Amino acid sequence: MIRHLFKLIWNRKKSNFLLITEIFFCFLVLFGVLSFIVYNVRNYTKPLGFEHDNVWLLTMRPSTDSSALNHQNLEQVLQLVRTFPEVQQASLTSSNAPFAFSQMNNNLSYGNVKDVMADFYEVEDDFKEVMQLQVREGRWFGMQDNASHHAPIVINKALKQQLFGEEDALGKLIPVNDSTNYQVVGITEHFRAGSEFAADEPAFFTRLNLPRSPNSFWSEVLIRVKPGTGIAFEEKMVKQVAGIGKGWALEVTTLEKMRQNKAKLTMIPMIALGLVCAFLILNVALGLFGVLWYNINSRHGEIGLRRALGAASGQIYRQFIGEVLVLATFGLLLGVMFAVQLPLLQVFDVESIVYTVAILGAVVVIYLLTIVCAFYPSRQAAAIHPAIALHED
Amino acid sequence: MITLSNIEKVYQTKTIETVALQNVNLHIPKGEFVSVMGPSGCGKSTLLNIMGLLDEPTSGLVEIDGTPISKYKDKELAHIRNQKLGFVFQSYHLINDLSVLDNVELPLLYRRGASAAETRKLAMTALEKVGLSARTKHFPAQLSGGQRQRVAIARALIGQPEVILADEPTGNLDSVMGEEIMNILLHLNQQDGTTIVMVTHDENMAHKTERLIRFFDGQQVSDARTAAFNFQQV
Amino acid sequence: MLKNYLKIAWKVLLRRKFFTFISLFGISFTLMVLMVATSLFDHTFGPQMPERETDKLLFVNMVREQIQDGYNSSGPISYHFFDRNIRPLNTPETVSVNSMFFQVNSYINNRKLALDIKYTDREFWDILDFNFLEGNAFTQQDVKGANRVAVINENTREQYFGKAPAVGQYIVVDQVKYKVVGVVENVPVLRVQSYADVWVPVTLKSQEFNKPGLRGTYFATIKAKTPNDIPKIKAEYAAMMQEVERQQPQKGTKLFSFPDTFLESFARAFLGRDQETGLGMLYGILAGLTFLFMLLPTINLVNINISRIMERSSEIGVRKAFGATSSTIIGQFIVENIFLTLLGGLLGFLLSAGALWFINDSGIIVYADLDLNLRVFAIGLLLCLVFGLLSGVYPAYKMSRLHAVEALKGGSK
Repeated sequence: MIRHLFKLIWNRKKSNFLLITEIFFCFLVLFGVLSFIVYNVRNYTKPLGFEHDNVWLLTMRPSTDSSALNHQNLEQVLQLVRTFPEVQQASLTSSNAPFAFSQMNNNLSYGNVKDVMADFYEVEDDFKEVMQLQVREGRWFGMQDNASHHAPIVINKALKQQLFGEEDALGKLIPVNDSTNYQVVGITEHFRAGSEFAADEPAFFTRLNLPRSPNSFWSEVLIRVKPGTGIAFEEKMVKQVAGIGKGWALEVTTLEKMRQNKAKLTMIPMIALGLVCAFLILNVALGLFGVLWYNINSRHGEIGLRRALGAASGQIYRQFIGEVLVLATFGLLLGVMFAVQLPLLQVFDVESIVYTVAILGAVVVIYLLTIVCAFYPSRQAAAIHPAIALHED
Repeated sequence: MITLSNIEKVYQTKTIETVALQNVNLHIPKGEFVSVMGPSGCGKSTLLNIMGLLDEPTSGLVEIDGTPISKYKDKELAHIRNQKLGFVFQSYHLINDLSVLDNVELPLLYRRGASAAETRKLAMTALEKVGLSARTKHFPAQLSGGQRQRVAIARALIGQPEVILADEPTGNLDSVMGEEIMNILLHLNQQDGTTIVMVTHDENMAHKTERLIRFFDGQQVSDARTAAFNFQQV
Repeated sequence: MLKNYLKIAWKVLLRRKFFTFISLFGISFTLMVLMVATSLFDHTFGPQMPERETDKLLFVNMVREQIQDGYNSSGPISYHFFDRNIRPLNTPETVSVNSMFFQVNSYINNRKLALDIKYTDREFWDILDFNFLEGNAFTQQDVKGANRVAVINENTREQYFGKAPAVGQYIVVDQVKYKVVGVVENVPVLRVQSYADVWVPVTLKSQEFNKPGLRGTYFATIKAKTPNDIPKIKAEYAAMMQEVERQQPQKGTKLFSFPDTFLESFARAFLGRDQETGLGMLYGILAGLTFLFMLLPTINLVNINISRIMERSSEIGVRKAFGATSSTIIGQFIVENIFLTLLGGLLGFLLSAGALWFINDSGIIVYADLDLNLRVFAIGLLLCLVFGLLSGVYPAYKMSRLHAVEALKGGSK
């Protein structure tokens, strides 16, 4: 029977061409959108590796160029912030604080592994407590690093995996330039600071030592406050900080708010794409239904004949559903041939599993769609009285 | 083989009631070649549909090999049509998107346990019988009317049915081609003993069969042996 | 004849309500999506408040320094660079310097307002057309004297003062007290060149004015006397940049900075390469996306149209039998199809009005005020016609090729 259906569709390929094209494009659209969604959802379900509730970000923009003065003021500001009872911990950070719109990265090489692109974060010792990082191997930065000969770094699991594989990473030296080396002192679990939808990319932390860096300035402080601390304290803090840094522009925001902004950046395109895709598919479904309806209705003679030759009404029903499935299979085969090029050629840096899920998802949706569209017309075809069907032509 | 008793068929629409058949009693014994004649709209086709189990009478009894068909469900009726009956239509009813061979194979598609190779062989034999074995790869649109009807007959043959029901098989053909088709049918009846019921408009054709039933206004008006029968008997 | 066609078209639509529904659904939603996109585009790049005379305006957003070993750095220009090089240009009618916007906080009654503040000169208000609800822009004296005065937008007024008038009142932003001199309508955030919540005199940042270097935190806005002057300004600017490049202390430094129209500046930010604005590429990408998006609905409509025609093959047969030529039949069908598309377009307009209202209401885009103006309407109409033709031509061609006899019998299958 299946061979028979393939033969029918194949011989009718000219008039089915448009339907197959439509299914083909429908598949591609679905595949694209599903890949995007699967990629993001997969990332979303992975742990961030830090806690952002009750963390505020204070940004300071000094108005003068005097770096010595700015540095001095910065030390005072930090001292002040840490003395507030509402503040649990505070840490300076480079401008790429979690959920910020800024990014810093660097190439690292170790042994045969060359040029692994990794995000790097310059942070103080208190950062671990502020963000509540989990160190799974080794240790976080501490006083003992003051004496160390190499620049200590803490890396995340993803970087360890890419740079060292199964090898032990602790204590290993990574050359930075001719005179400096990074030394791995600890390994954290995940650290995905870009956004909740960011992939688990390699990342590492370098130690920011304010007292040892005279004349330098960092403009962002992450502050963990006691739960329930509100705007009143924020205003008080800003006023007092403004008292130290005369004419500084100050800005306070919560990581929660930054998270929402960052999430919007992925969610809005995802929702817009999803809506457009849903509309296209609904459109195709209605069209498919109409065309199938017409096609099946214009084949009454054939239905009557098949009944006369001994097909039961169930067989007619299954034949039409089968035909539509075969039709969909032609379109899908073509589509899958295109879709598998993405993982094969590694066009984007995305795991193959994402594409596999997207392809399977798209195939299933299209089969379901065609079955649903064919269901009613086929039922009608099967219910036609053979004697009447034969006499229509 | 087929027995009809007290058959009545009424078509009901919202406003009018049309009586297509009334008080029809018929027995078609095995091996007979029967033709049915009558003016348009006299109920011939309805009769054929009822005999072919494509339609049910409003009242009355249809028996196939002594079993009333009202006992069967749709699936079983389909099975009987497939096993015992073959159809030939005035407008051929070939599937345009299938090749000649595929069209002929169609009845076996609905028969369980027919292997592809076996089916092919049977189809070739059937096409040989109608003299079309050279055209298996053609599509219906590439054939003449007579050739198309021969394909339709081959299709009716392939299942080796006991009865062939032919609804004006020569109606769309010129007399030469009609003659050809008629000869094939006669040959089938005489060589293979296939029972044939043929509806026709053509007196000439009708007189070549052994029994002629005339219909008028849904009623059977005559049922007689033809000269051909007498000739055969002698 | 046309009237006759339209009458038949209408009857056909009514007869096959389901097909009509599918077609109208497809057309109207496709056009809705396209119209929303057009409206968004128009909203971002079209001549809108406050950049109304887009054909006379040029913007300098960035300068990129490329040092010999391939090291790049780019960002907004410095005040110094503006003062030394852009202000003295001869061709422009007016030039304005204004800072990028910074987010700052303001606290009122235990509530925090995150506001975007922008530092501008007086020319900024002359070049751009803001809609003032109250008061006026700050004056040249305010700028000269570095007075603490501010123009705020409608939203900030509401947050601060409710519905009450704001001019003459004071607001505290980032620990600085400003006197409100004017209130303007909200400027959508997509208009990065002029968007802010609070505008204050640029001279309040005068401590930065003498900082050397090319890069800083400023934009320049240039207004030409007439649209024809635009190329001249670009040429003068390019000559000026060459001179600046020559004066760079480090040899081999290359500088890239261009006065761009609104759309060019956007294109350059994402697609620009060296001298190229990337505008052509932007148009290409937009056209490509539109094409891809319209592809599926079009195929769908073609499919439906073919079914629709086959169903009417006996009508075609009769027409042919009575002497209609293929071209008249094609003509009839295309007229019918355009009629249908326009009907769908009308629905699409209603739908897009609803969708735009929803987008504005949801606040997805800050201060967005998307609407269907005449420009969007015209583009929508054009899209309708293209869509109608696209989906009508192939089925019409197929229909015209039906043989009269076959058509009378119900079409070939």
